[in-house]
Amino acid sequence: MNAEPILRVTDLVKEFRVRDLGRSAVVHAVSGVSFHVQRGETLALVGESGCGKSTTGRCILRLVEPTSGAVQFQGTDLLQLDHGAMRKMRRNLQIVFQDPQASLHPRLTVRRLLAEPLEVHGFERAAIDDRITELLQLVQLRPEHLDRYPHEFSGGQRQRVGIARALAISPAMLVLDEPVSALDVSIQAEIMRLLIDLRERLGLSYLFIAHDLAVVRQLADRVAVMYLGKIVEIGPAERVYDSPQHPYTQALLSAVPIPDPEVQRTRRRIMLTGELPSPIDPPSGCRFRTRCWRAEQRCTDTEPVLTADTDEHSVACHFPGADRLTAAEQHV
Amino acid sequence: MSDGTPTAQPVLRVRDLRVTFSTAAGPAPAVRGVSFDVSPGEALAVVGESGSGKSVTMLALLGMLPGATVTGSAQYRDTELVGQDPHLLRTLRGAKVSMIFQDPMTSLNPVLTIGRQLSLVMRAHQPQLTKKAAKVRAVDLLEMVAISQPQRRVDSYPHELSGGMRQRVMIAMALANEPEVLIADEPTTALDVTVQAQIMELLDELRVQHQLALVLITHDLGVVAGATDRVAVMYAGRVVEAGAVDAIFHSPGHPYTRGLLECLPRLDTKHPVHASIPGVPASPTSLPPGCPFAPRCKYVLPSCSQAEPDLIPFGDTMVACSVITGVAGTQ
Repeated sequence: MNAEPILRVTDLVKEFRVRDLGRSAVVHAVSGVSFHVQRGETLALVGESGCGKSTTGRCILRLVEPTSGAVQFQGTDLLQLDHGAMRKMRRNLQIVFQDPQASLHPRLTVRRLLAEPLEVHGFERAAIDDRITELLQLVQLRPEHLDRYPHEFSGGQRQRVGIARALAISPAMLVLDEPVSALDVSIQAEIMRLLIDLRERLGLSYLFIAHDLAVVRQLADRVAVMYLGKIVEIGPAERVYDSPQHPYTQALLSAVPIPDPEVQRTRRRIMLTGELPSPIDPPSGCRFRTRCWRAEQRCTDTEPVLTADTDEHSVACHFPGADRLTAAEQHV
Repeated sequence: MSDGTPTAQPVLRVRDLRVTFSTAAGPAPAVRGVSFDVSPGEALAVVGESGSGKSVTMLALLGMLPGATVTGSAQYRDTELVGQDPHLLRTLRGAKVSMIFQDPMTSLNPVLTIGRQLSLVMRAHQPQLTKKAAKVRAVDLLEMVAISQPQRRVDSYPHELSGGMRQRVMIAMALANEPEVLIADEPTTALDVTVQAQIMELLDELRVQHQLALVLITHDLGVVAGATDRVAVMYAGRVVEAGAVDAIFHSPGHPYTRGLLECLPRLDTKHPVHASIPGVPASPTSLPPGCPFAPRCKYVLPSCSQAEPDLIPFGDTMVACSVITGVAGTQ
């Protein structure tokens, strides 16, 4: 991993000003997040609602303006670009959203939906038609689908259209924001296979944002776990899944049901107590300490920083370590 | 060997339940002959994808689909629910047979405190209960569903609570009148996975403590694996496979059940899922002839489009598939 990463995010912060009970307040949605994605690599950003994973994705594309930090994509700091230059950069960095029903214009046919990004980026008429044919093949849709409207498709097919549209101008990287969460189980698998296939064929890099850890495991090279605006653990997927070091990662993994009654009956599970604190007033020190069974005074006083052991596996915890809850042990 | 058949007397017994909606596109048979039993202390999962008829089945037996045509039988103890007088149904609903829904925010009244809502539910069925006594009981109920500081929370409005707490309030409301049957329709689908684990554990404890008959409606086979005794898999308005939870997971018979299980990504393996079920779920307004799963089935035979198979014992479960059960070869 010596090559220059395709994406490097450094100390990204996003704060929203809101009015809370009549007073002006600040929501700390993303509080100093740093990570990188290598060329051809898939980094999964996982966590529960309100952890800041989607806001992070949107900040990278500047669909939401970050408060501070740096986002280096292919060597350029995106946060320094003006609108025109940013639009040019988006040619190489595209996003796929969770709900294609909401992100595809309902009154445009698939042909128009796919032509639009090509026109914006100055493709010639003839080139556009060729490219649309190519795109259909890439996402395994048929030519007769071209003149249909989004509502005429099933959820899975609509997401294929969403992916084709993101790929239209041949980006090097995709931000995938919960791309299969809205789909039925029998359809999810197809879309996951398509994403794996496209990554191999086109050499794409992915930032895969998701809450479903079982889905993520199928394609992530590395995983970053977020809690209340911060990354608490990041590392190679096998390390994070098989020997999670942060108590939150351990609780999160142990809560995911495994579709096997025997395993499920004998597994040790960690039940988190208490509620997720408000991002308006996050706890001092470690943000997870209010729900952590290992918390001591030090966790209130000092914020733990992400510290790497070997193999680029980093944990932000004063008392990291195995809790005898690895995926392998859960089977015993 | 237990085949998962309940030994106790069932508290809810459903036979050949059918529900048809009239739509602009003609009659839509959403439920087409569903039968099941649930006994006290037992958990039955009804599993299926969107449009399989799992929620409609439950709403129909509670008399909550006034526009639909409902036939067949659904008995709570000795009382027939189908075609029953709405007034009598109202005395049972929320009292003896309760239901909780996926989204607690849309099921709770946003302008009433949760204490007031709990009190209304209790006083509707127990008119002799005073407001004061009801409030005391409301605090107890909140404590029972593990809401911290119940004395304070009883005066909260729904928007002041987190999603997990709201679902706990819904469970408290459903249990307020000590029901015998609790129907939980996707109770954790809108919740985060750590909260889901808490809610499922709570339901499990309450089921054992109060000897509840629990019907869990879900699309999530992972949740089913840890939380139920028996499973009924629905497709296109019918039960296509039913049996004990271990048998369903370890030796499924119906191609649809097998397909669903093969599609599931597992936390404990990184291998990509290679299976999927082609096509889209059958729609009630345009059912294919014969077996409704035939157009998506990899074991399909020409005979599958001739007659719809019955649910018959096969292996460790009950299966509605003429190819798997071998009926096709003998006809």
